[in-house]
Amino acid sequence: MTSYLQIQDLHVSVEGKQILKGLDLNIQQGEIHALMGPNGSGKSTLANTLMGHPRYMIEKGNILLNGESLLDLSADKRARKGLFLAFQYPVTVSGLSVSSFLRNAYNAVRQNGQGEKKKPPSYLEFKRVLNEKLKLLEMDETFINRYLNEGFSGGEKKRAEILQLAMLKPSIAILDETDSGLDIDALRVVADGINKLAGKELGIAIITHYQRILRYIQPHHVHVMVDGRIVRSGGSELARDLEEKGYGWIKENK
Amino acid sequence: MPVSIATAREISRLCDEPSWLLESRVQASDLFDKLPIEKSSLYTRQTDLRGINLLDFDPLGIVSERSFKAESESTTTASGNCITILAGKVTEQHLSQQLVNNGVFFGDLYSSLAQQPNLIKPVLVDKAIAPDDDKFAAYNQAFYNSALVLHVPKGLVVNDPFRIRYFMDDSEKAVVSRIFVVAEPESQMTLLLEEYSKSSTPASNSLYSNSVELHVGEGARIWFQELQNTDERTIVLTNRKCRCRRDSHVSWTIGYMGGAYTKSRIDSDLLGEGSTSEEMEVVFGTREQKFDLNSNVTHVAPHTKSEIISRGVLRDTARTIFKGMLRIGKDARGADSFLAEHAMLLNPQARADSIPALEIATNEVKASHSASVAQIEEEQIFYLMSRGIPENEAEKLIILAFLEPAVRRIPVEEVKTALVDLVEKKWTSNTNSLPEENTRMK
Repeated sequence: MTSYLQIQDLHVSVEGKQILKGLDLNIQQGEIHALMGPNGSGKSTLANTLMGHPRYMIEKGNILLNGESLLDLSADKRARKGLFLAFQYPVTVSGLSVSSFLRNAYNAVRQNGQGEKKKPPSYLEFKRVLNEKLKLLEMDETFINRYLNEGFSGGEKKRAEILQLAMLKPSIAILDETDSGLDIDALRVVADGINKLAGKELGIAIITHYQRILRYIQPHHVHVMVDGRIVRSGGSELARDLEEKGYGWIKENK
Repeated sequence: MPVSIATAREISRLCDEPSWLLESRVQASDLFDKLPIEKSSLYTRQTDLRGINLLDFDPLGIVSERSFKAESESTTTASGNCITILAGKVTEQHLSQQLVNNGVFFGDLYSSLAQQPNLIKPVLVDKAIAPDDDKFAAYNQAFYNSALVLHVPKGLVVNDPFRIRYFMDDSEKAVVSRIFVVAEPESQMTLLLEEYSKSSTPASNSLYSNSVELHVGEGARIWFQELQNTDERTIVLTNRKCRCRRDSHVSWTIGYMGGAYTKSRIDSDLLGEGSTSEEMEVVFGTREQKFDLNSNVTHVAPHTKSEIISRGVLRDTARTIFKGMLRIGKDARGADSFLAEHAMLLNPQARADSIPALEIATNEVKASHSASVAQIEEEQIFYLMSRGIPENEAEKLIILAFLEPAVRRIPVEEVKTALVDLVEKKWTSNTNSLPEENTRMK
């Protein structure tokens, strides 16, 4: 069965301020979507709301994964159902090693959230998968001994997010500004990692302010967000139009 | 019958003590009556012992119920070098034949006095922990009903740890214990001290008072490791002091898990040039637990070095007061002193206070301290949860991460593992009971 995420007429407020004002979007496993928009259009609000951040209030609308509403589920349950968010600003947890963090996450998502207690994978099994993913993403093994995001460069943080994506194998991944704060070399490395993980098994929504990551990753669908709504959708040519004409062009032609 | 000077005399009589020991008890009992709860004007406001009367607990019953000397001679087939004290009574005592042959003494005070009076009497007369250090030291020295000596001769390096385990009874008794450790020059040893309760849900309060003196000879090294995991109705009072001679080293590790009210004091006296001390403290307080922790480092000699790393996590209405004092004397040029005390609160009702202080009487020294009290970060919890980790597990990982800077410095691997295990178990069950065999330090 192909997994699919449905966002229906989503209205979200943060601390009393209305940010999303009726957003609709469908993402299927295997598809790559790019969600573009100027600052303040609500892109990060959408990302955090999808993952279930408690600060974001859903006023109206629904989010469904494979037909089942996620609204009453906490973030960990959403993750165990196959949703993933790569953070714009990954959080530092000093004292928690990447390896210990990944092991806990890896075991947790394998519990599937169905209440049944499966035996967690053995350490050796985990280690085998981890080494395989490190190799795939061309990351150094010593990386996993460091504390989570502590002292990481911008590029290392984003690569760590992609490593988590690789380990947890979600069906739908939201990548929130994964390209921001990266120099061109780091951007290429991160985009390369995403391309390796993309495929039939994974639906991706790349949230971005800029077009440059789309030079490395070919989206099937491009959506433009303005003021809490998707105002235009199209193929990859839409991204090129935006690059030439800027967001002003969309706003004028709304 | 409330405890009084007559109690001290009776314990002394039952233990068949020489008159000079009785004199010490009488003097301490007198000081106990006179001393205020807190001597330092710096800390008076913070100490809260209301509702606890030390004189309600009986230190005598333990002594009168046993034939003190005879039983402490008994040995069992236990492996390793260990002494187990159950409700104030030595139930297990073992020292390897090889160490006996090498001249190590590990046993009770009275046997030590009988076997090597010239060695241990001066230590007792010297009173490294003085009865007027504070009211609790005075209490301990007036009413102790158990006393142990560990002596390692010159140049002997003992790799296997010495273990002392206390199991508290769930009665209104007072286990009042003293431990004297003498490390002759160039010797090395590890001492593991553990405190547990017989049941997790005792019917009444009990009292555990302990004092530990480490006499560290030139170039000697002692790793002192303690896990305090009594039930949450035990009043825990401990005074510890090390006296470090030239080029010696002491490493303190203390894990505070149990106890209703814990008042703990550590004094590290760096008396000899080049001597060093380090102290790792981990506190995990839940429910109504209170911890009043005091660490003092005194740099007397030049080029001495000290470090204190304290990390506390407080849940429910638990609270800690951490008082750290670094003193650098006028002759301690080149001294290097560091103190870090950090706490994390998991509830708005939990509380932690840090009171760091410095007294520096000479130039050319390095001294610094840092302190913080913070709430657990919601963004960290959300981040971990977004990876499928349930909230409760996420919080556990975050508190273990917070404790890590102290935990990773623990020099004995077994203690490190046991401590993390205790934190995890306490997190999950929030009860302190007699641990399963596999959680105890082996």
